Amino acid sequence: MEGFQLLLSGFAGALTPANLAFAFIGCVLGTLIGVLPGLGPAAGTAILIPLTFKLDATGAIIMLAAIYYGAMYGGTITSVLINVPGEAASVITCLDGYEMARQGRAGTALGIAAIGSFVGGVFAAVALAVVALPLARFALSFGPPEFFCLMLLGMCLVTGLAGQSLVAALLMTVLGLLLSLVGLDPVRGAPRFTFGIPELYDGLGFVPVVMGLFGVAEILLVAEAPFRRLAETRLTGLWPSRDEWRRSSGAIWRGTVIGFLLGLIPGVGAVIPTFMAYIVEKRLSKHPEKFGTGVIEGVASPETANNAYANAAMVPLLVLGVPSSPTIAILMGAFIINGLTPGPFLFKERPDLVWTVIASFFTGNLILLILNLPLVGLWAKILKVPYQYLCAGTLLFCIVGAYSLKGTVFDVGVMLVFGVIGYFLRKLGMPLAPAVLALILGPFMEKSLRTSLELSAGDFSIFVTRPISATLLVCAALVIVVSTLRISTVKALKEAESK
Amino acid sequence: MTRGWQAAIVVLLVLFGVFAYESLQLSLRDAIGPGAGFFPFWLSVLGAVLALLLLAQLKLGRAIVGTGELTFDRAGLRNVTLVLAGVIVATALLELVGFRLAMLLLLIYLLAGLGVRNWLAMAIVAGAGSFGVYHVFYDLLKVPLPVGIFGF
Repeated sequence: MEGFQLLLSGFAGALTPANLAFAFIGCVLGTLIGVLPGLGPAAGTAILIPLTFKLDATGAIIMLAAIYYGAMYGGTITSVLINVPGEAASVITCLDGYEMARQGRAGTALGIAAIGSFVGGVFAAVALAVVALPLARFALSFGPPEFFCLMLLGMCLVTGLAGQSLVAALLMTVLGLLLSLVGLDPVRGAPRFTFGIPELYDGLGFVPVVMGLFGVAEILLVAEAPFRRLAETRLTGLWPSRDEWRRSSGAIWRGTVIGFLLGLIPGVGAVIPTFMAYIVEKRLSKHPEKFGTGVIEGVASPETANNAYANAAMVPLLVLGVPSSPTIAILMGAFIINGLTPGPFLFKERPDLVWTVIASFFTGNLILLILNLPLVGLWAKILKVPYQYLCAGTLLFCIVGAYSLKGTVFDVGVMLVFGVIGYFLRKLGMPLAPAVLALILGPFMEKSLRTSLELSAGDFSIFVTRPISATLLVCAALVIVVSTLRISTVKALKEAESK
Repeated sequence: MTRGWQAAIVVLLVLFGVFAYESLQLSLRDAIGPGAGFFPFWLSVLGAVLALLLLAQLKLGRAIVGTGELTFDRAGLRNVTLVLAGVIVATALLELVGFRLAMLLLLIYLLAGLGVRNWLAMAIVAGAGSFGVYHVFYDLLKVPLPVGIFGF
């Protein structure tokens, strides 16, 4: 009950005209990012951080969170209308969404996606309000060893699920951790890896690095690929028929539960919940053979799971301070830029901010619903923006963002260097998510490790003699073992197939 | 075994070597506990071991790594080079000529270079992207952007 009382007080903050405006702007920009092909939620959130520099912390977080879940919905529009997913989580929506569009039912597909996203998002926000306080109170009992093991577990989860090679994912994690250590040592204050460059004393800026890895690299990849002219799709009737409602309602609830539960696990990413929701729906259907031919459940379920996941993924960030995906890591970066550290102490020190942000998830999801149903036609027109304008505009925002962080060209240079690195790594198929997560968690992880070892006078057994840290370590080891087995199985299956 | 992956691993090995060397210049341990070099040194060692392991896996054909490879077609590479060159030059000029002029030139160069031939649309986008964005960020959002030697 206390959680709901605090949530009500959060609504008082979230419903102020300014915060409603930030949520609205965030939803519009997020949907725009999701709609524009090539710009995913991570790149979009990163390049729009500068817009929030002059806002107060609450307004900035509300706007960036709205950009994030707006982008998650925006990706659906391109999946349905032109069979091009705006971001990875919308890939599965192409199967039935685009087929519906070809049958002249694009409006219904987008309508049910908007309604499902709203239901999934609101349910996840309610569940977040319920679990946040008890979880945060539990996490308050954590000391440095527990936090170190928790971050290690989060990193193992992201690494284990990042790609087809565990070694490559671990390699990217180590690289991210090392890059996060550039600058002043967080414990003793000694400069490290600065090579005499004064600008590096503050470390490599998280925003320029992420803008480079996602924004600039994405633009280089878009500029490289041959341009494809998009087909036009007519939009009619957004509201589903009674029969479509009946078929969608179960799918929406199942998608909500799947998306929420998987959103709680760091590293799962948005793709797995959408695929799982689709597979579950297909298994439960009386006509599984019709999936892929334009059935409404094939859109309702993954789209609901997508938004439920997006909102549930805020739980590990807000409660434990562990981001579960690159976009959430960027949101964590925004917290840090505003002088806040997400985690249980934030509930104690800034309950006003936390509960206003949580309440804004409700208002944001409502805005998204109201905004997207009538504006679908407008978003469809934006799809026709030639890629040259998209490239130029994105680069412009990247430069503004990197420069305005500290008012120095050095950060723009950092962004360009990491843009080139990101371009090559993405061409090779190296997983970037572990590197980004490590980049943001690195300093916290080092501080926890060293403080733990100072507490134990250098004795590493401190991590296994404390029950919570020992449990977390066992979980981390299990994740690595399971990931190794999973990858080995996939490899064996692929080899068997090729024979 | 792919050359792109080989090259990336070699670069990473060199990087881990530099980090390990620099870490050893710092203290690994001091009177209170682990020193400034402790965490990065052991991370560098771990990174090098992982890089060698990946190299060995690739050599033995055992690793399922990403499907990507460093292949380039001429037109694609031209566009990438064009974009990068433009942004590098614009960045170098940013504080000298100011945000508005640098971005105006960059946008015209990028749009023309990437094949836009509608000069009116180009002028509108370049004007809005340079002077318009400057107004939004500098005047409305109070985000400082550089003013160059020409005073704008």
